[in-house]
Amino acid sequence: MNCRDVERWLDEGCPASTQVEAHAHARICARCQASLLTVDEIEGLLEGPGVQAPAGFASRVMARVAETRQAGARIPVFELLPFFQTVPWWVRLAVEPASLLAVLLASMLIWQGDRLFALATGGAVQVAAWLSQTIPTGSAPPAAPAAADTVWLQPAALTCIALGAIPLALMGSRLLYRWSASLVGPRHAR
Amino acid sequence: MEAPPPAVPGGPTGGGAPADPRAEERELVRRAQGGDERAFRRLVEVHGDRAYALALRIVRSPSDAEEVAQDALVRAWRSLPRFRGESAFSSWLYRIVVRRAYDRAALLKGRRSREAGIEDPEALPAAVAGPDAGARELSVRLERLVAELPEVPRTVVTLYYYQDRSVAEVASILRMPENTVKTHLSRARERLRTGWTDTGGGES
Repeated sequence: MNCRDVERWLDEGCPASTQVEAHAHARICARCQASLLTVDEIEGLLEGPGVQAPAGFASRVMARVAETRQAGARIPVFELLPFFQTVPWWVRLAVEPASLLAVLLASMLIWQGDRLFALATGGAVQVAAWLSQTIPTGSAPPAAPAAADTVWLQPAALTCIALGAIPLALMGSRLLYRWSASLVGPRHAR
Repeated sequence: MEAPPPAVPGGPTGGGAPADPRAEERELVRRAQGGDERAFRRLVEVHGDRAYALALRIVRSPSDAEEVAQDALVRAWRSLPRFRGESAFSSWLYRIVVRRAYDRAALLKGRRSREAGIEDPEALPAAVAGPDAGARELSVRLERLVAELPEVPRTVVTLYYYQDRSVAEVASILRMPENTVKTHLSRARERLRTGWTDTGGGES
């Protein structure tokens, strides 16, 4: 190694692979020996005690954090009510908009399920009839309108549909809730 | 920085044998992601000094550095639910600090060019540390040399030496190839070494 190689070795951060050769050269070269000491001194200072943030920094950050909602955090609409923190979790869950919508839907299905499904089925039958008239299917005769008393209105099928509708209603109401939350203000929408 | 508050009850710092710091940090991050402000305060106490120091070395003004560090930490809090833990929390935080500090530095550049003189020596980071007058003077001299480096090499040096990051981590934080980081480091070392020798080495 010569002086130029030692300088390059120093600038590369003193890699261990060529350390022996660099030190061997520095022992016989006063200039490189001085460079080695300079680098030791600089690195010692660079790795010395660090800078401290001003007093009260963490408190000031936390004061700002307390005013900032996390991304995707829910709006504490009900938490604005002073007594809400003290009510049990199941009460808080029960007054969630999603829960209320699900309960409303389930109640309607149980109470007026037959009428609702008859209405839905009737509408579907009318659409199917209209489609079969609009789109000719060759020699096949048009499909006869289904009777109101179809398999869809059987109690077991109704129960399955009601059970399947609940999570969909929950998801739908959650999406609605989040969308409405984004309208409340930029602080919440971020 | 002020004295830390009492340990979070039931938390990783809440007594018992000292846990793995990385596991402790992961736990704090997980809790902070769930909105736990006390866990986030602990993260601020652990990383606040370094975030501030990094900002200070980029913007070179204590008041702006504090604002940058605060902004970065608040932004980190807000975005924490989206943090997937693919890198260390500190690397993620420093990336936010660097981005915001660069923005602020660009804003300040025009203002500084109109002002006479450079920064107040007392504003340099080394002026804060070290009770020994001799060591303090050496530190201030080195800080001046570091401050004279261009922005990107200065950030690389700060992350590599002052923040004790590896080349790979610096590359990840600054989103640049590792070889570019090595080149910046190599050039910065050369400039520091030359500058140090030209200004009299450690003889003062």
